[in-house]
Formats: sequence, structure tokens, C-alpha cells
Amino acid sequence: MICVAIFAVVAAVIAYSIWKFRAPPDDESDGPPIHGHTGLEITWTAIPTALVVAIAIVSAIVLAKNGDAGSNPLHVDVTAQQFAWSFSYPGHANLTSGDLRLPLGRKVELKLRSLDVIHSFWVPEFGQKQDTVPGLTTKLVITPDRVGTYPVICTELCGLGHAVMRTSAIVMPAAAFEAWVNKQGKALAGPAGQAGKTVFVNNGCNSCHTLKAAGATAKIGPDLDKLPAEAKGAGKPLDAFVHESIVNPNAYVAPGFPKNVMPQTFSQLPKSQLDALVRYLVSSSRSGR
Amino acid sequence: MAVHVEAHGPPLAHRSSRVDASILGIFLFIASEVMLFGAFFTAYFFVRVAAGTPWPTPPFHLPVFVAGVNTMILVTSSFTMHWALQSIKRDNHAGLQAGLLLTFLMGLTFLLTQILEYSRIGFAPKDGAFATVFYCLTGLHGAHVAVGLMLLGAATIRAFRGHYSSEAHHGVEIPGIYWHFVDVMWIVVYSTVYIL
Amino acid sequence: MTTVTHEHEHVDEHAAPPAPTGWRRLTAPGWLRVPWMIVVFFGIGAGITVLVRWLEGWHPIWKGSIITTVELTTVPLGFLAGIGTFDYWVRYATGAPTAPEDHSGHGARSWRDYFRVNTDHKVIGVQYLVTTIFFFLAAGMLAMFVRAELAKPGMQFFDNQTYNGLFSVHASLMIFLFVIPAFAGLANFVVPLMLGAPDMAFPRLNALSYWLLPMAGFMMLGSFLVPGGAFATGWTSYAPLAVHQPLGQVFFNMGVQWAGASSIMTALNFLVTIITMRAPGMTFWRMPLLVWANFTTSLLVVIATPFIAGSQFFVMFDRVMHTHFFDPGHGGYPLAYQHIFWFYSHPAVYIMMLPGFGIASEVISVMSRKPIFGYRLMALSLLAILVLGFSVWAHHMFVSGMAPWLRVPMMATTLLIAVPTGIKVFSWLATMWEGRINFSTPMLFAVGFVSMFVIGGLSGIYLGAVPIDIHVSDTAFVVAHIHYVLFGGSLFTIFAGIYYWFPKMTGRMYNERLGKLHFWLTFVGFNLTFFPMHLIGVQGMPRRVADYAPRFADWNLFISIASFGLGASTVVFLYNMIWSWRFGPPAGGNPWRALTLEWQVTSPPPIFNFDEIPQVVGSPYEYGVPGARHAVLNGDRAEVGELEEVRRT
Repeated sequence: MICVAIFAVVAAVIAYSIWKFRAPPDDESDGPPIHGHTGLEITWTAIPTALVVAIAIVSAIVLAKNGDAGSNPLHVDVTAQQFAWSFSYPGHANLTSGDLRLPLGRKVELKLRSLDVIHSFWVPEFGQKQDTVPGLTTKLVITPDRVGTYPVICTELCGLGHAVMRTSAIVMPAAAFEAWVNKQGKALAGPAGQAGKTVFVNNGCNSCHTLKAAGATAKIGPDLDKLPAEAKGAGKPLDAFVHESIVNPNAYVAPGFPKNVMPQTFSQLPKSQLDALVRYLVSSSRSGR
Repeated sequence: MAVHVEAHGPPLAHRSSRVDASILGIFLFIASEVMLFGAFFTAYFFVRVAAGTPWPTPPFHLPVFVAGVNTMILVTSSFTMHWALQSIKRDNHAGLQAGLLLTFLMGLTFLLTQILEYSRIGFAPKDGAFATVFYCLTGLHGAHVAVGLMLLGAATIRAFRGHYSSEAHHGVEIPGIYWHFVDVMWIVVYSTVYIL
Repeated sequence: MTTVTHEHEHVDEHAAPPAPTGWRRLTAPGWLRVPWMIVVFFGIGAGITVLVRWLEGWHPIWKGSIITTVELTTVPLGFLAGIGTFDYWVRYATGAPTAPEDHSGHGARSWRDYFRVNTDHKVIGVQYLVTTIFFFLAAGMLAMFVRAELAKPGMQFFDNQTYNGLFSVHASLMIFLFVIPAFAGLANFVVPLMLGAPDMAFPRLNALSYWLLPMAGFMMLGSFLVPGGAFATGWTSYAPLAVHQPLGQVFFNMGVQWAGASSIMTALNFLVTIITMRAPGMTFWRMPLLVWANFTTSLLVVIATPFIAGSQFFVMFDRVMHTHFFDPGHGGYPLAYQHIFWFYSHPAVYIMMLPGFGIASEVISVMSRKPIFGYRLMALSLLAILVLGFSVWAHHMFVSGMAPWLRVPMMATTLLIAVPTGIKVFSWLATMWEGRINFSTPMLFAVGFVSMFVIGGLSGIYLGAVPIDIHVSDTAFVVAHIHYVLFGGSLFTIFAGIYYWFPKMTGRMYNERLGKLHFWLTFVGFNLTFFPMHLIGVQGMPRRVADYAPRFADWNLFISIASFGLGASTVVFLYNMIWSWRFGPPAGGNPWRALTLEWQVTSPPPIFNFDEIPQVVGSPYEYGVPGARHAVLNGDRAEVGELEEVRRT
């Protein structure tokens, strides 16, 4: 508001000057030799100073309020890596998810980590943003107050897949949130295909790769429906090739794709999840053809 | 652009300051150099204080004594530099030549000792953040010693060709100022990296 | 000229030495020596690298990426040695008797002299401006590509890495190869004249700092040709991402070093010139505000630029020597990069803005026919910005995860900068008030600058307040802000300066009608392009993305179309400049009826600026004061005494 007012004053003075003080083309005279006016100069030093001090104080208070997590927040660990988000819930047996699900109206404290480079977590509708820095744990407090699905965007340039490093934040009523937690727990313990797909989605594989069976269409990395052909190119059996490509992505890089882009961090997945993922990729890429 | 055929040389610029232009220039340049060291010391601060890296990181050791002797050599060279300048101010050419030559040789000794130290120190720049900062700070300083030696070398060559006099000795004074800066900077590097 | 050379006499005869003939042309400084010198220095660089790797037993001994990194240092040196920037110093260092200054490398006698090492500050100023406008066009073209890609959501013309390269090179060229050196170029031409000095303090250093510039520019542009594409980490090039990028990244690291070295040398030269070479009577409080602006800018450059050099060294060492400045796994600290980088790059904002303030002050005062309002406060506010500018760097890092206690103090200092900036804006308005304003093209650009800069400054206040910044940082809102400040601010003043001094530089008048057309096309196109970015930024459009959510499609298409119009307006500017340079009507010595010294000599100025150093007798802005003068030329000492007497009473 104040800013609009200031701009209006400046624009008005300029417009008035342009209209009023324009010299006719043949006017060779000079203006009055006004060198300054001490009172005026003091005024326009003092008023902005007072204004910015006020803005600073208000901002500092708002900042302190925004950072207050309250007594019983929901904890969520956010892990960022090129080019995917994953969220885990320490209060719910470390349940991991590829999208951020939050119950309505409860304060949430996010602890953000990065596995490789600096990313930045932003949900425009929450109005909060925080970088994730490798080697540091950063914190962010949010209070979701409306049910809906909102975009989670990476806003710190993090490499070639930066533009598509997106997922969703889904704010749901508390009961629906509980139901989702229970269902996810069961899915991971379920049959191989279902568990594999959950691992695939929860670890954000779908943000870089295409895989019809999972409905993934991203094009940062190689098309996983073509895994059998790639395995042939590498001269390895399909399941060994898939396993190696997950735990040691630089061993074979598909032609046309740069080295060092696929994170090497998936070698740390629990063995059961890794096996489920390999089996899932092998079977769905075979059937996809 | 129009062609100008000038009829005379440039008018002499008015001297609006008591400070000589090239002396002021070298001091500003040194200010800029201090800030470059400042950037490296900022990295040192972040690694050592903010990230809390142990200093030196075990199992590595820093050769504090050898580097201390080396420090003595460099400090002495500052005095011989000063002697060289004082000599030429009194038109003593032999003193100028001896002083510059001694300074140059001591600077060279310092640099060679530093290189020897690198080869025997037992770790490489890639061995953790401590090694990184150690090599980069001492290396940055080493690069400055090398530049200082080039300036001194030029001054020495010109001194032996009889170029300087009590009236005209900026060519000695300016490398001298730079050399003193390199020297003082080393004391800072030595005390922060080796001793503290 | 006069103060650098210590050990030799000044001689008055300075006929150019006879042009070399036969094979000697290959060893004389110039373009024929450049190719083989580059080959020699390439050999030296490759030789040293191979030797060291062989001695240390590192395999492979010939490693392309390492060789390239080293060559980015040695090949430019080869070029500089070939073109002849080092000849004098090499002669000096080897103890050879240095030739008495014959001024053969001084002044331009034909257009060819602009392609040689020249020690005349006026020639160097023009060299700077033409070079920077070339890079301005190149970078502008890259911006057009960026907007083409963003016209629709999804991927159109480029892949992700190429797109990231496009905006990275666009920003780097605009900042390091256009805005900063274009101001240096204008100041190079104008400042010695304004001071009443025959040249800069160190003319040979001045020539060297110009020739470093094309090196840096072609290095950055050339990065598109290397395997893996151009550097793609933005002009901020944050570690640790930059450490793991393809080879093109090194071209940014080294390009910044060369451009930075160039701007440090120029700044040092300005400072020494301003301090030691002012004409008699030119006290600090009688210096034109452009000189004040360049004085403060140069201080910023000398003090701050080494920090970006440091940050780029660290990234390069992490790549090449496998050091661990930013790798937390080995004791490094990732945020160190941002602190060091912004400690330069925030003052860099003022490096890109203060000279513009100076140009605006000159133009507004002259065109309004009034003294500048509150001259001393104008100069002091420059110094205030200089001091505050060093204490605000972390406002770029409010969301970076740095120590939280840094936020509030940095916010306070950031907001405080609005006060001196506000003083300047109000003073310009007061200068225009009741003036007899001549709305020529430079004045239009200056007034356009004031209005656009107010928008940029006010959005800056939003960004300065931490809670708002947390929401909009790294969004299109920031893109809008930076363009209002750097395009609406710096670029408008550069245009104002180019139009204002064009008659002085070329001796000819530009076409006023085309100039006004250029202004209005630029002004309208600029606002249509960048104002909507505020809106979509707040709504959630991030920056530096090739692909975006479909709900921003309409605005982005609108912005892209507007930006093509904005790009097209440059054609008018170019046509006007080139045509007027050749065919414009003669401008006369002082077409603007200005008081400052550069207008008191012919256009273009004589080769040594003044026949005799002028005597300054009063303020440079005494418009409307009857009988007032700024300076007396050609030594009417009696008149000087009289005027000093008038001033005292």
C-alpha cells in the first residue's frame, strides 16, 4: 500500500513536470538556480527512515511467529535429491511417500535434507520456502488450513531436471490422513508388484523416467519401458542390469544421456525394497513391450 | 572519427594530490589483494569454525618448525629489501644491487622450501577440507611470492644495468611495497594455519 | 601519461615509428602476431600440465578437461601478448631501455586504430562501448531464445540443459560483459575529460583492462561449443551443483576471473586518476556527480571483486584438484559459497547502479537547465550506499538455511539502503521541478530510469522484508525485480549516457526522431514484458525453469510476445547509431549547452583533451546563475582570479 502510494507520488511529480515544465523548442533560458532546501532534504531523509524501520519491526515480528512450531507438531522428514522429493513420517513408522500428505489444521514441522546439491522446497499456497542444503538440516513450519492438492516446487536451480522436480502436497481431513497412513503401510508389505510400484513412486523414480505401468512419463532419464533393449546394449541379463543401474548408475549410461545425473543414493534402499523394485521394473518393462 | 594531427605533446597533468600516482596505485592493488586473501580466509573460517573440521585433521601434522624457519627467512628478506631502497636513495648502487639480490635469493629459498614441504607433508589437497584449506591458503600466498619474485627480478636486472638513481627509484620502491605486503601476509597465514 | 613514467624524459616529437615490413610484421605487436603467440602459449599450458601429470604419475597424462582448464588461462595470455599489451612491460622487465613515450599508440587516426592496443582513454572508451554493445546483442538474442522456449508450457525448442545454459549465459554476459564494462567504457571516455586531465593515470593498464574483456566474453559464449554444453547453473553458479557440471562450467569460472581482473584494473585506474589528476581548482566538492559516482563504484569494485574471484577459484579447485571446500562429506561447508559469492555480488548490484545514478544526475541537471538539487547530499548518499552495500549480502540468503540470527540485522540494513536511494530519487524530481526541461532522448531515458527504478526499488523493499522474501524468492517476482533494477535502471541510464555523449564521441548528432522512437518502444516493451512477472511470481511461477504449470501459460505467452517487441526495438537503436556515426549532422562542441569540462572542447575532443590544463572556478551545475562558470580554459589567469573573487563574495 505504502509502496503504491510512493510510486503514485513519484509518477505524479514526473507527469506534472513533463506537462508543466517542458521547454518550448527554441527556449534557451535556464531554470531558477535552486541549489537545495535543507528542510525538504531532512524531511525526505527522515520519513523513509521511519517507514523502513516500521517495516523492519513488523517483519521481524511476523518472522518470529511463522517460525513457531507449537507444542505438538507433525514431524515430516523431507529428502531432496536430483530430481525428486521424498517425505517420511517418523511418527508413523518412517512411512515414506513421494508426495506430501498432511492432515488439515495441525502444525507441521518439516526437517529438510539434501543428498546431493542445494534444492529449495516451496508450496506457493503455503507461502513458505526453505532451501535444502547437503550436510545441513533445515527446518520449516507450516500450518495447512485448507483441504486440497497443491504443487511442491523446487525453486533452487539444481541441474538439468530442475524444472520438473515437482510433486504434490495433499492436505486432507485428519481421518482421511490416518486412513492413508494405514493403507500405505499395508502396500509395502503386500505382493511384489504392488510393493515395487510403491517403492518406485515413493522414491520419485517417476519424476525422471517413463514407465507405462506406473503412469510415469518424464524424460530426464532413459525410458524404462525400453530396459530390455538397453540390457542387450550393455550385454547383461535384464535383472542384473537393472540392479546394477540402480545401485551404480554410471556403470552403463544409456546413449544420449549424460553421466553423473542419476543419483547414486538408491544403493542405500533397504534390500527388501530394492529387490521389490528390481522385480517390478523387470516384469513391467517386459510386459510393456 | 575525424583525423587529428596534433601539434604538440600532452599538457602535463595537474598534480592534485601529494601522493604519487604509482604509489597510490600499488596500495589500492594491495587493498584488492587483501580482499582476495579475505575470501580465502572466509573459506578457512567456514571450514574450521562453521563446519568444525579438526585442525589439523588427524593423522596429519603440520611442520610448524620448518615453516617457522622459513618465516624467519622471509622476514629477513623484508629488511634487505628496505636496505636496498635506502641505499639507492643515497645513490649507493652497490648496496642496491646487493640488497635486491639477497632479497630475491631469500624469496626463492622460501618458495623452494615451501614446494619441498608440499612434497613431504604426507597429504594432498583432496584429503579432506583441512588439507584443502591448507593447500589453498599457502598456495595462494606462494603464488604471490612468485609474482613478487618476478617484480624483484625485473628490479634486480634493471639495478644491475644501472637504471636507478636517488631521483628515480619507483622501480625499486613499488616491488618493495609489494614484497613487504607478501611478507606481512605470510605472517598472518603462518599464525592462522600453522600455529593457531 | 605524465605520472606513470618515472625514469625517462618526456619528449615532444612523437611521429609514429615506420610501419614494420616483411617478416618483421610477424613479430611486431598486432593481429599477425596473435595466432602464433596463441599457439606458443597453448603449447606452454599443455606442456606444463602434461609435465606435472607425468611427474606425479597421474593417468591419463593427457586429460582433455584439465588441459582445457589450464588453457583458459594461458591462451588469453597468448592473445594479449600477441596483440601487444605486454610489450612495454617486457622491455622494462628485461632491463632494456624503455622507449621514451612516443605516443604512437595514442589516439585514433583511422578506424583501424580501434582494433589495436591504444592508450588513449577516448579510444579505449569507444572500444569498450562497441564491444559491450556486441555482447549486449548476443545476450539479448539468448534472452529471445529463452522467451521462445517459455512461450508455451512443456518443451518446445531446447532440452533442459541447453535451456539452463541459455539463461545462464544471458545473465552472465549481461552482467559481466555489458552493464559493468559499459559503464566503465562511458566513464573511461568522460571522466578524464571532466576532471581536466590529459588521460587516465595508467594508460597502458587501461589498454590491458580493455583487452581482457573480449577474452572473457568469447569464453562465455564459446562454452556453447564444448561437450556437455554451456554452463547451466545460472550466473550465481551455486556450489555444490557447479562442481559436478559438465566442462562448460569452467568457462564461466575463468570468464569471470578475466572480466573481474579487467574491472579491478579499471577501477584502480579511475581511483588514482580521480585522486591525483584533478585540474587545479577541482576540489572534491566541485566534481561532477558522474565522477563521484565512478569514485564510489571504483571503491566497491576494488574491495569486493576479489571475493567473486575467490568463490570461482574454490569451485574450480573442487573440480580440478578435487578439493573439498563445499563437500560436507569431507568437512566442507556448502553455504560458504553463497556467503563469499554474495559478499561480492550484492555490492555488484551497486557497481551496476551507481554509475547510472551519475549519468542520470548529469543528464537531468543539464536538460532541466537547473542546478542539481542538494548536490552534497547526492554525493553523500552515494557514500552511504557504498558503506551499507557491504552489510547486506545475506539478504540473498534468507531461505538458504544460514544462521537465523543473521536474518533480522540484514533485513534492517537492506531496508535502510532505501533511504539514500530515496534521497537521490527525490532530488532528481526536485531538480526537474520548475526547470526548462528539454525532452531530448537522453532526458527521456533518464526520466524513464527514475520512474522504472522506483518500481524496482519498491519491489526491492518487498524482497527486503524477510517474510515476503521467503515466499517470492527464486520466483518470477525476483526476475521482474532484477530486470526493473538492471534493465529499467542500469540499461536505461546506459542508453541515456550513450545518447548524451554520442555527439562528443563522434562529433555528430544522432537522429532525435529515431532516438525518441527507440525510447518509447523500449519503455513500453519493457513494462509489458516484465511487469506481469510480478504477478505470476507471487502466484507461484518459479524462475529458471523451461517447463511450468499450465495455469501460467497465458501470461507467459503474453510476456514472450512483448519481449520480442522489446528485442526488436534494439534494431532502431543500432540503425540510429551506425547511420548517425557516418552521416549525422556535425554536432558542434557543446550541443547541450552544458557546463562540465568535456563539453568545453571540440567534438570529438583533441588527442590530448586540452591544450592547457583548465582552471576550475566553480560548481559544475550553475545553470541559471548569472555569470557563473565551472572552468576557464586556455589560461586566462586574470579572469580566473576575478571569478574566484566573485565566488567568494
